[in-house]
Amino acid sequence: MRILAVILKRVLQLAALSLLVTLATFFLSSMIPGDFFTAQELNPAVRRETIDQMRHRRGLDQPMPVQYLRWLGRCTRLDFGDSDFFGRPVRGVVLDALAQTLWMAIPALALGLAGGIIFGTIHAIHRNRVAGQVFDLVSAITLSLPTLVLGLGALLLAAQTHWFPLGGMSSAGMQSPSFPTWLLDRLRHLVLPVGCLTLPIFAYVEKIQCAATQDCLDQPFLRAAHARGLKPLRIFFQYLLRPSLNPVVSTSGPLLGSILSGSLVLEVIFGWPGLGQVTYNALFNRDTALLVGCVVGSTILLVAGNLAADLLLIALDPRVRGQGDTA
Amino acid sequence: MSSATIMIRLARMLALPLVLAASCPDFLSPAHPDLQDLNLNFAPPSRIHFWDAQGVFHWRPFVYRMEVIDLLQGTYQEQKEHSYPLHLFVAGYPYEFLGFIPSSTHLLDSTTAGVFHPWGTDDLGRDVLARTLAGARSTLLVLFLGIAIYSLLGVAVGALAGMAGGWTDTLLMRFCEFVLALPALYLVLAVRAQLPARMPFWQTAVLTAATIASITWPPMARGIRGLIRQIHSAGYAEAARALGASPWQIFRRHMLPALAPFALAQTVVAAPIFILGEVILSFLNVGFQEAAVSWGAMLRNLRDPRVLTDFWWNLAPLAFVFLTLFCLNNLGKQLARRDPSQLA
Repeated sequence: MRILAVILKRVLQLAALSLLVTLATFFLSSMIPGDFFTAQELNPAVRRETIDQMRHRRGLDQPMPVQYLRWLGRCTRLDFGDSDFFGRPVRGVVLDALAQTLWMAIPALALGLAGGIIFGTIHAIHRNRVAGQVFDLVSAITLSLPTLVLGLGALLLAAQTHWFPLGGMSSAGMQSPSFPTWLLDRLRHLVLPVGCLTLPIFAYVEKIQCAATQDCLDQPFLRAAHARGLKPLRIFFQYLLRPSLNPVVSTSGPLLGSILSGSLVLEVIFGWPGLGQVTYNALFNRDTALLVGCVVGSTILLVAGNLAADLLLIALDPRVRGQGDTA
Repeated sequence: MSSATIMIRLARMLALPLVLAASCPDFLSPAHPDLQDLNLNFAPPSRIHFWDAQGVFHWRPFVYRMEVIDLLQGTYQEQKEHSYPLHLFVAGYPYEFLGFIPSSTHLLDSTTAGVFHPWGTDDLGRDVLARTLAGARSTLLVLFLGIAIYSLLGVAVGALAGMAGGWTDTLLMRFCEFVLALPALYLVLAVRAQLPARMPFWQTAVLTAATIASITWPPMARGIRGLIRQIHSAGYAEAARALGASPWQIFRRHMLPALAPFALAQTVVAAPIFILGEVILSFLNVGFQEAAVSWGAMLRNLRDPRVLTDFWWNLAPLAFVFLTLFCLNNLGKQLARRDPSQLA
């Protein structure tokens, strides 16, 4: 029952959040004069009537509340309007871009979480030894390396050494490559952006996991387990690792937000045609429908991530189930 | 001594020179940050010599003038006919030391202006060292403005929620959750899209700071609210209420002093966000525009791909971003260590 309540609450929250986000983005954009076709008004080859006709067809001649309600009405049929720049439905553009972003975000999240949990645990267990000191040093440095610095640094490395491609998703001049060649080429292009996205996640997760494991190490239940003569491996997994995962799981939802922000920067740097780059271009092209679509898309992704983190936490920690409020 | 302590000491040692460099950029740089030299674009950093072409040792270090040897590639070579000795405390372009003492003394330069570029030049032949130091000022301006707005917003919302309680509290805290759940950078871009593309320097600084603060304040508000609820039920607050003190008096006399340590620690924790935010926004061309100089604006040089392959010294601000974040992170760690119970 608990799980159902959490899901219901999150879905309602998602709906309210998306509605507020669209409302804010729409009305903010109504405050500036001009639209996608304003730039064409100066073009002597385009007649004024043509522009007016285009505006009428797009519904841009209507007042903003009407435009918003119309758009909202279409949203109920999962039609988010058309992108002025791409000339095709926003839904298609956003979903395509999202797929490209996930190529980067999912490996980065998986590697960052796995690496952070493993190294954070080792860090905490060895806290008073040389290894712990080395980890302290690594942690202090990686925490200060944001994706922008890493991305530009990696680009510099790639330009100087030619070990990796400088950007994009695939090499030019490959005509209908076989699947293994295509995959290998894609992976080569992924190494740098994924690496730059992973390292900050890794540093953050490592810090949290280390602190959580240290807390667990001081708990009396661990000593009790030792006293009962349980096998060290069982103590490690059941009594140390499982309770210490709690903070990491509950922060991995909000972590998704920083991944989205980080991937936006990296997509612009590496020319990766994901959601971030599409948003960035929509901003400069005055493509309001697409911009709103991108912001809504990223909001949905974020809330879905938070929901997943909540459910995982319930599955992992029986103590949370008994509490009144988890969300 | 643990390595965490070493890191904190290192950060404290680094913080002072960084602040000094940011406070007197003109004194430390040989050329004006906006001075262009189109004959000398993307010139490499000057090499400081002690031995001249004949192999004779000079006590006073000197540099050579750079000359283009390949117009298409933009490669430079030192012109060894004439050497330019370097002097300390050289008279150069006039400026105001610390913003109010008129001066024209510069730490290190050759007596001939426009020859010595310790970190090379950018696409318009402007001195990279001068621009990096001057850029620190813009970036730090956004930091301080942002921190001010952030604290004001966070403390105001947190205090209102904590003091009022009831449905005001619930509503404000729900709103906090709402803001926290938003995709931050996407929203900043959406907000930025509503502002004019080109703005004067001060307006850009204030709006950049306000945009970042407007989506990062919830952790501050949450922490402040929690502390206020704690103090609200404490004996001394109850006693003050019984004596007939108004909520404002209780807040001022009994709560504000107790909130200060948390607020300070929280601003240090939030500070990197503002540095990074300015750099990212300016890099994405929605922060400081051309002519204004900031670390993020300097990194826009990267639009010329040759910067990566041949003119790498234009990436100097990256090192400064890293050092500043390193200092802030470790100083924040020290504050947290001093008062671990109060960090959210």
